[in-house]
Amino acid sequence: MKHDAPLDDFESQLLSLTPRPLSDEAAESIRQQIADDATPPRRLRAWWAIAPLAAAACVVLAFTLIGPGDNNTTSPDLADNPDTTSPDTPASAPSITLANWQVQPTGDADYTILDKHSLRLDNGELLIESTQADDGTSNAQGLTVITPNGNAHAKGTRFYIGTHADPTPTNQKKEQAMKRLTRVLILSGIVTLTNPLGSITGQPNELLAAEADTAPAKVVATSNTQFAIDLYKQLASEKEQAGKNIFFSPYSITGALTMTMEGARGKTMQEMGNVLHFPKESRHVGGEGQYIPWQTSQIHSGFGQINARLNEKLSDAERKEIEGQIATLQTELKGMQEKASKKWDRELNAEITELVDRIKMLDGKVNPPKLAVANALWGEQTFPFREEYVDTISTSYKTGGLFPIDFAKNPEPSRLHINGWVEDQTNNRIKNLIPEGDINERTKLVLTNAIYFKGNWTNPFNKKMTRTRDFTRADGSKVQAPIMFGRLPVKLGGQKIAEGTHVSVAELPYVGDELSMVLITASGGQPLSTVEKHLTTANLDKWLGTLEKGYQKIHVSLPRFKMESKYKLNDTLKAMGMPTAFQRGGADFSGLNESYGKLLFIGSVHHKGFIDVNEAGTEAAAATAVVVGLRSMPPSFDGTRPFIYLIRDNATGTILFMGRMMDPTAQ
Amino acid sequence: MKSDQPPSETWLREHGPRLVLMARQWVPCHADAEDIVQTAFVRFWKHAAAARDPVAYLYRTVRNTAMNHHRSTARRRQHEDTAASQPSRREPMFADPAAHAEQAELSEQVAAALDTLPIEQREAVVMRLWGQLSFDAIGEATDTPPRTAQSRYRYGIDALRKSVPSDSAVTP
Repeated sequence: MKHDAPLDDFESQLLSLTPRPLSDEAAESIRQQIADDATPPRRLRAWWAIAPLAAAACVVLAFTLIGPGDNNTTSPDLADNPDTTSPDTPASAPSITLANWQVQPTGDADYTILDKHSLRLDNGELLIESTQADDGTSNAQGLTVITPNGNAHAKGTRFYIGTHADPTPTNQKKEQAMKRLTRVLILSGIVTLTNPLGSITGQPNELLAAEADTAPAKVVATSNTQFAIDLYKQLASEKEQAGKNIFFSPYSITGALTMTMEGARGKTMQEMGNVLHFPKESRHVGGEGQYIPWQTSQIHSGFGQINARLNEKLSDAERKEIEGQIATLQTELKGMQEKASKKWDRELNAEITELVDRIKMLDGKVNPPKLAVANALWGEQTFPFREEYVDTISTSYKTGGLFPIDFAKNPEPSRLHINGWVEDQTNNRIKNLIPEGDINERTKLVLTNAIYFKGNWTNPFNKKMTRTRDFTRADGSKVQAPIMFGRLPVKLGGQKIAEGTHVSVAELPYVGDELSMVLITASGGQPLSTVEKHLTTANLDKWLGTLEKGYQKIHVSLPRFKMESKYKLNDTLKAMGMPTAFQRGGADFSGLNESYGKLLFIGSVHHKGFIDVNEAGTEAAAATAVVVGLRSMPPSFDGTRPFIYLIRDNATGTILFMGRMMDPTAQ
Repeated sequence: MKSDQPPSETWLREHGPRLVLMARQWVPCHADAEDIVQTAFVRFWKHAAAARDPVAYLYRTVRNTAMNHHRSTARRRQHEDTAASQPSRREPMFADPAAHAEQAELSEQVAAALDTLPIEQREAVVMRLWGQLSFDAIGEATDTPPRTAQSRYRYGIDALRKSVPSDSAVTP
């Protein structure tokens, strides 16, 4: 913690006064009480001088120089590069014993011990070594090191871990140049480095690295945001949507379209990648770029990581640990409540509220919002799909392979079957996604994505406070609607976007604090269109960036609403820049099948959404289906019946020979 | 730091004096402030792992304990009417600056000036200046928006600037 702004002379003078220290008696009394307490101490904050960038760079370099058989536990920079150590740095920082682990800062380190099985490393390097032999039973819980770029989980091992600014020279902007890296050099045992959006496991002699900014999931998230805003603006600009509610899941749509795009080639693929805002770095150049314009492995990997994260569940051990913490806190709460019931005590009540909040927070971790994402490929059973395509999609999107289905002979039962799957995945909130008639005997592939969410507000609205009140529509007319009221902790933000126009942002968390609803409106009674006019990815980032870190209790009013949406996105997506995929005769899906690829096209893209916002929380679901059809029978010539034939000079068109074949067995 | 030091020791050493100064804003004598810090610190240590911002939570716990102490003392005084038993109005808030006469004078003037501030401003100044808390953390500790914490600090500092003669503010 440091002062945000430099102190002026007067403040510096005040700071020169040293508060009276705690007397030895008082300190000893605290030590004694803590020692007597059964609860083990959990946190420690240790600060060393911040390492100069150059020193950090040398340490990273040293990581690559140490052999796996090197048993020297001395810090590599101190051992091999004594001159690189900052003169302000202690020659050898003291080590810390942590349960069955020895933590040795190698030079400078800024780290915090969270409990006996986890610590957070913000900057610098640590050598971590188990103090027990790895007999398969020791360190059962392992050790977790949390860094800005990812978490390293180790069990029975010895490793260096460093997190620091990336020393790689770059011409990019300063903030990009200063992006951070986390690296792990494993000397023995196994370490898993988990980015919040993915993970990699390494063994002795391996160097693992995590850089959050370039994580595939981050790339996908950025692309998804850009697509979301484009689609929102496109829908908002369409005449039939004027003044109407809009609701869709960009993640569902981009997921389904990206799976489809893997089968596209040439211009079809190029346009789809542009509309989906794939990063420029993923663009193929040269001859190959004509046929396969986008390198999609990073994108698929990103989707796979995000899907895994969204579908993630607590392990039994984690659940048990948190439930134990809750039980302890509840016992304490009970005691405090009994005390409070005897005598009114404002501060005690405040502490009770605080404790209840903490229990709620932990409870949110063991009972998080329901969130599930599912993808599926439904392929005509007689159609020969490229195996590579099916493998790629199955691996990244967990589709369980390709479900063979009889579109050719049973199109309607097939449609009902797919719609049934969507209903199952969305808790019956999305029904009849693909309308009757949209699946026919020429349908070859249907790609579906379904997402379902149900979460309670961390701080729910009181149902008794909900009143029917006016809701002023964009045109100024008023409509009576149930409005929820509450004084709730929210994060607030806002920014001036034009002369006399401010955007106002509020974030309401769902239990567990992993998900939240962000509300954006124009303040001062300005119409929403003024915000929509300025809605861009960059501006959205800025607006979200103004959200305060802490919550403040404010009066919130929000309509209770439930709505369903339904879009056939063909024209919308064409208008956004991908018309070719829908063109019969123009589309190229040779990635699905090389022979028939140019006959395949997207027949329709259906998207449906459902959302229910009420006093308790939110339930939302959405699904997307991309229907790929064959424009006609593949070109063929049936030579098993009589035909005319001729041999001609192609250049001049001169017919050299001509004949008729009626019976090939006749001599 | 010694390798065998328990984690609480680091916290205590780093924050102890600042916490006593914080508690002193609520009570007039050093011993009472130490009692408050003792109670609060032990309570804090039990729950520190679950706190979103442990330092803010530590200051919040000290604040709550101090408020509690302050009110119960006030009640007792009302009942007992024993003002005579109270310690002298103010004991020094800052460490003995014997080596610097100007510092001694400054510390007395600052302590006296702090006394005149509303408690909210006093808390903000102590947490910000000596506690080195961010305004977010002060907001969390005092259950107020960070902007309010910032305003309180600014008002407090401006008031101190007026109360403490400029010639006192000399380099020690």
